[in-house]
Amino acid sequence: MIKNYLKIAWRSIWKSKQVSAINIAGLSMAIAVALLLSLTVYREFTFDQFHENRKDLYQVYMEEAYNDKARGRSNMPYPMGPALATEMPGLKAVTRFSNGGASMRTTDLPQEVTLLCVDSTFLQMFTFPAISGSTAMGINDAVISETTAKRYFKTADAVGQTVLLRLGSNWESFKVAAVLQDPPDESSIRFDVLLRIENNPAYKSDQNEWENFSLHTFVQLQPGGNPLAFEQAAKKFMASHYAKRIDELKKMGAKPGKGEEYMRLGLVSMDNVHFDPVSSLSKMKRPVLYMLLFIAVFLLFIASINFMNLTMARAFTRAKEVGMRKMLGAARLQLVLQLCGEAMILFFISLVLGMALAYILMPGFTAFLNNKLPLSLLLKPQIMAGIVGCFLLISLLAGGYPALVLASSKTLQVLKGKINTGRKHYLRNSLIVAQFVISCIMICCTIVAWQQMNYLNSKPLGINTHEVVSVPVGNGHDGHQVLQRLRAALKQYPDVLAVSASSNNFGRGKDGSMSTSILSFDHNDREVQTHIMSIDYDFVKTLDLRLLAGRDMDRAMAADSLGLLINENMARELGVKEVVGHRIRFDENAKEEYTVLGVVKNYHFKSLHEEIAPLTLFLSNREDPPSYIFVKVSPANLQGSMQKIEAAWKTAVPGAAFNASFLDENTNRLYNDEKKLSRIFVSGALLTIAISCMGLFAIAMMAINQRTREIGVRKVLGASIGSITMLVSGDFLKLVVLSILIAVPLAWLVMGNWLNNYAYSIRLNIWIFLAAGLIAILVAAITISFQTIRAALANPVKSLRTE
Amino acid sequence: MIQLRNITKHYPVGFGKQEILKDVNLHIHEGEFVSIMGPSGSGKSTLLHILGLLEEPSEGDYYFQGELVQKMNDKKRTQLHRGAIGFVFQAYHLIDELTVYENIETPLLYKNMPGSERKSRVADILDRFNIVAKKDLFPNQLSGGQQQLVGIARAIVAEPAVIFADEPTGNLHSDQARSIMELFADLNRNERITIVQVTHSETNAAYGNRIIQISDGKVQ
Repeated sequence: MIKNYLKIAWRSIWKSKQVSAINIAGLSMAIAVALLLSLTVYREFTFDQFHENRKDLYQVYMEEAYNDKARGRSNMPYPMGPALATEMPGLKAVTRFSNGGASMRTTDLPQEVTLLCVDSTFLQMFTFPAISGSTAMGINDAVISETTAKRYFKTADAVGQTVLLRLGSNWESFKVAAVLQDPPDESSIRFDVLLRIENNPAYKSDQNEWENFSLHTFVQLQPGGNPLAFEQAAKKFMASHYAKRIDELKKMGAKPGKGEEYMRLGLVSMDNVHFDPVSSLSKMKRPVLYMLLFIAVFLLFIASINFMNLTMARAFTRAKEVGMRKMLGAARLQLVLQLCGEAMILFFISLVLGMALAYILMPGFTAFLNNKLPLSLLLKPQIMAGIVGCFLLISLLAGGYPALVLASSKTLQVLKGKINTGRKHYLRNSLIVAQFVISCIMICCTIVAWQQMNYLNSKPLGINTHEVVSVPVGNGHDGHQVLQRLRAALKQYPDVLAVSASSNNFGRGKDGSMSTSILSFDHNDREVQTHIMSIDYDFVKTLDLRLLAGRDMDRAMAADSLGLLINENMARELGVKEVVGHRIRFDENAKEEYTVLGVVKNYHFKSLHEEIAPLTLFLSNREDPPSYIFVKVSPANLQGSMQKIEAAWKTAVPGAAFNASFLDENTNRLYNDEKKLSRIFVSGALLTIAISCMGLFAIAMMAINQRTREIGVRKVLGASIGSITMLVSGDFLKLVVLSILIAVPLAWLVMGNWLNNYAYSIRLNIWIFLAAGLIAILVAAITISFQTIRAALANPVKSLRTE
Repeated sequence: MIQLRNITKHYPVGFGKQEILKDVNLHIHEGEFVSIMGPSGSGKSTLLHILGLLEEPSEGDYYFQGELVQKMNDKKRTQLHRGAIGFVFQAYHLIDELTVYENIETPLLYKNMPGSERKSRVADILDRFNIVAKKDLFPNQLSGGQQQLVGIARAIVAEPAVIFADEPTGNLHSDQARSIMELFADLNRNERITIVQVTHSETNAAYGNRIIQISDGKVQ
């Protein structure tokens, strides 16, 4: 019996090769992409799941209330950790760790490593198992990862060896006490080397400093402990340690936030660290993942609709066979099983092809998303179960419905080819509408996202991004010295127009680091907040800033070391008449008094997600060396200039990595996430459209086959080719128009929301949506016309004879 | 074997109804070969469908092998289709995707007959109908007469008590028609299969041993 079913299923699939091929192609494409996307999402959700104590691990964050809103941060001061451990109830352990890089060497040239300075509880709380050695972490011990051990010692067996790390300005030696397995790829906490926190250069000065926030602090609650109880108990803790700060916030007129607190401590669970924006370890936004999942489900949904429509249409063309089988004594269940079985075979073929396709696409996809997707993920029981579940669900739905309709209708009617599906095809049509609604939304989103990206890329930032090269100084070198040497080395090149430096980069450089410093101070009895950045001479000239008033800092004027440049918004914030020459004291007790030297036109020093904020530029001093050197070159030969800068860099700082890039590369990199997302969207949109059209193509083909006689009769009666094409296409195009009407408001809503993420965005224009609609109609019309024109051109004698 | 008492069939048409069969009383005994004759639209096909459990009468009682048909559930009817009733159609209604052999085998599959027995049954029938050479061909590779031969083979392979034939030779030319009718007569005579056929042709009707004339829904 089964054999008979399989045989007939295969023969009927083979008989309608064209439709089957379309069916399988669409479905396997959708499966491949959906699989890749959901694997990506799955992987993101497995982040930090490997810690044995993860249920009780939390990262501590702090929230301060301001007059507009509360701001959170997850960087904690040095004394916070020990104070929590002694004063707070219900804690099993507390650990702090710094983040950052350092230079490490044995005998050869130093190399950069990721160094964490941690409390000795670190390895007890987090699960980073040791391969060899002791993880007690003495004060002079270094614990290194397996890869690091191999990198420096060519073997994983490095316990007892000595390494030198540059901490502050000295090389200090440590004994390797343990080698750990590398942190898994799915870990938010990544490191090559661990040292005790006391070795951090800032430890001495900051160990009792409550106002300097630089450490990640994690707590482990007693098993089954309640984070809310912690947050409750933290009220008293904060009140006692931050009494002065809370008073200040009150005076500033801050509105108390959650729990009527001006400052409060909160906990982010280990499961959430990867996602929660308040955590500085978070790398992924949940909405992005939901978006990906959304696209995956959409694609599958659309392909399943095709599958259903086509299976259904084909099943009904086989009504005669089903009727005959009923007459020969087939029970209803047997018929349903047979028709479902056929759907399953088709689906199974698609599944295998889809998985193969996913396998082929995997390397490109992971490279594009810059993450690792091990294939072994496919073999995980949960994933397997998910795939099998989807498989059964879709084939049962797609095969089951037509089977049930056929099997329950009257034998005689089925045999005569009359099936009660409702002449109007409500189900089929609503499925087609659903497909095109989704496609239209995707087209709209794609167009809007593309326009927005274009706008961001072409919006003038107020600085020269094309001709300025940014060179990260890197760790372990003195910025002042490097700047001086590089200036000297670049002097010989006429192409180099100006050299300057600052503490912050523009955009995201090749070193990947970005930072924000905000200073608030009392000014005329009012709290003023400003972004701050230290710069070197010639900053205005190098970046082509426009001075609205005053002058740039001048080497010849010794007093300029206490000079300031401010932007327009800062000038407005200060609210004084004669802003040039205005004197500011940032701290009541400090003796330094700064003078505003000049006002520059507003420029975008942050991404276009944010409005331009008040900005104050200081001249960098001994304690605050520049981290980025900017070189302005003549526009004539940009790449050639880059090579000259590299050559100069090599002579100025031998052995250091050269990570220079043009500023426009850096600012573009700010929108990398969006670009990736919009590329996924574009591909998703193309796929949905393609798959929807495949479905439409096949449905049109079958609808026309069913109407062959009608078309023949109409032609005999004198209908023109055009009118027949219109007649048949019209039915389908009506559906597409309906879809557009449904999709446009939805897309408007979604994209309006998305654009709100940007301080600077395009305005939504009805033309975008009209264009999207037009594209949808055009594509659908072309698809259908393949079939309709063929039908209209056919010789009526032939089509009439088929009956 | 078959007993109809006051069978009436009508379809709703617009606001009224159209009467197809009016007060039909009929008794068919086992081993009879009955031909139902009458002009187009007289209701003979509807009568055959009711006899074959494909349609329900609107009124009246129908006893098949002594059992009241109206009271049978779906399962029981399916059982009868599997074993007791065979059908032959004017348009053959073979399954296009199956070969001759598989078409004949299908009713046995639904009867859950073991494989070896199935094979020998089908082989017997193929042999008897002289279509062994055609067993791997598909219906569209056969002539009309051959297709109808397969149709009959399929109808009798499950050894039914009765065969209902709806104009079995309507699509065939006279030579083919004659051989089909001879086959029916032979089955009736030698295997004691009851046969009820609907036909237009006097010649075909003559092969049977009783003729029921029907016109305007009434048995004459």
